[in-house]
Amino acid sequence: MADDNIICRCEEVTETEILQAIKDGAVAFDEIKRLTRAGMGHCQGSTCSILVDNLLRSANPGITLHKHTPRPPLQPVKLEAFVKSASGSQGEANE
Amino acid sequence: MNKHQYDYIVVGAGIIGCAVAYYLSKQSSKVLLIDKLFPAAGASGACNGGLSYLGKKGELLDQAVESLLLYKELEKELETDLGKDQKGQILFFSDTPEQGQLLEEIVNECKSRTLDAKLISGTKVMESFPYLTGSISAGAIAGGGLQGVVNPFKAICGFLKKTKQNGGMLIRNEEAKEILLQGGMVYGVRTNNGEFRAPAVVVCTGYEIDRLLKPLGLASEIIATKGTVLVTGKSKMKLKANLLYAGFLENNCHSKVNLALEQTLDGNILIGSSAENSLGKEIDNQITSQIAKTALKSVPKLKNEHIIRIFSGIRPTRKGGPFIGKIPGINGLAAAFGHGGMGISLAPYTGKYLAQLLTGRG
Repeated sequence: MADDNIICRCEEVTETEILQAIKDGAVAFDEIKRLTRAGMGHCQGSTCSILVDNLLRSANPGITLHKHTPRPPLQPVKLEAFVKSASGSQGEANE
Repeated sequence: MNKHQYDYIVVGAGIIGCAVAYYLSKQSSKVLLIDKLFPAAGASGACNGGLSYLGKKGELLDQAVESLLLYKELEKELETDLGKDQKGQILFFSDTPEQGQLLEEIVNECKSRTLDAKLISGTKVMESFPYLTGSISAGAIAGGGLQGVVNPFKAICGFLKKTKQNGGMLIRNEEAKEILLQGGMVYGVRTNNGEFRAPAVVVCTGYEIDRLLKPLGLASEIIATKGTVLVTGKSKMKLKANLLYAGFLENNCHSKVNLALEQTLDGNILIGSSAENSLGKEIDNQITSQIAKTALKSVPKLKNEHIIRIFSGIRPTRKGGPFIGKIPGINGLAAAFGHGGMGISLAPYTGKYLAQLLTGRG
């Protein structure tokens, strides 16, 4: 749809797709994420989770929303950084 | 007629429960599926979606092959894009002679069933997976056609779509609290919101199964085994096979990290994995760094890949392999649990087998 709104910029998920997921019965951001990939891209839902929650609220007045399951890292981090961050801590001793 | 009366109630909308509900719905229009949260909220939504048989033995291997054959038909049957690619190869690599022995065993298991699997030299392993470095002693590889990946969410959506078309129903936020029995027979399920009635109940609640079975005096022998996976952004690297370290085949697999690499159709690389004795869903930083270290040791080229997400899920592991069937001594009660890391691979088989067992048809 040409005039559709993009909700998740990272994965290019549109408002229509989110609304369809809600119509199909989705009740939580984490479920919509699984259904549409909204929130699965580079920023991990920092922007779109709020928009998705708003769409869920307007479709289901009075809904109690499930808490999101936040996953680390807060922003993309190079793989080798995870090794370095554990240097000198127990991570080394466990080898 | 009571609107809460069904032919079958399936508890748990992970991939197993959804497959069971789908195959039951082909025989009955009164199937109810309930989940305490929403579909794929647990382990099915926190896994790598791998389809494999290589590495399994005996009955479990037969079940896996049967299930992967079913996946080949399911895309058409469910009229859903499952994000499936069954052309992938599974490659185990080893660096000790003892592991070489284990590789030989799993390859022989496949060969005795005329499955296309073979032992290969360390050099051949490097050819099949050019990013790999280190002293590789041997490998085992099984070809495409059956193995690869499926998108578990899409598979679940497909099962649910057809279940609904067949007259079945899914209710979210409905937590089963108790299996209702009278005179050794099941008559329903009590939930946080009320009661649902059916002469047959199938419990598919993963590692949480004891909550429903224990009060009935049953022991599931489930060991919850947490796994952690690191996900990269869409990568320029192109993995030619799903790579697994032969350490996975060793029996003492607790609190250990073994390398598993897999690339999704979108290009993200999943780097795993661990087997942790924990029920916590939070990420353990020590485990994360062990996985990173293990991955970089074997595949140094990964060092510049950006990790965008780290997730963990809890495998419902059972020593004797999965239980799929009727619960002896209780009329109308059936269950499917203990699939460990094989839930996605085994879901179609589990659903079809249980539906046949319960309906006597199909």
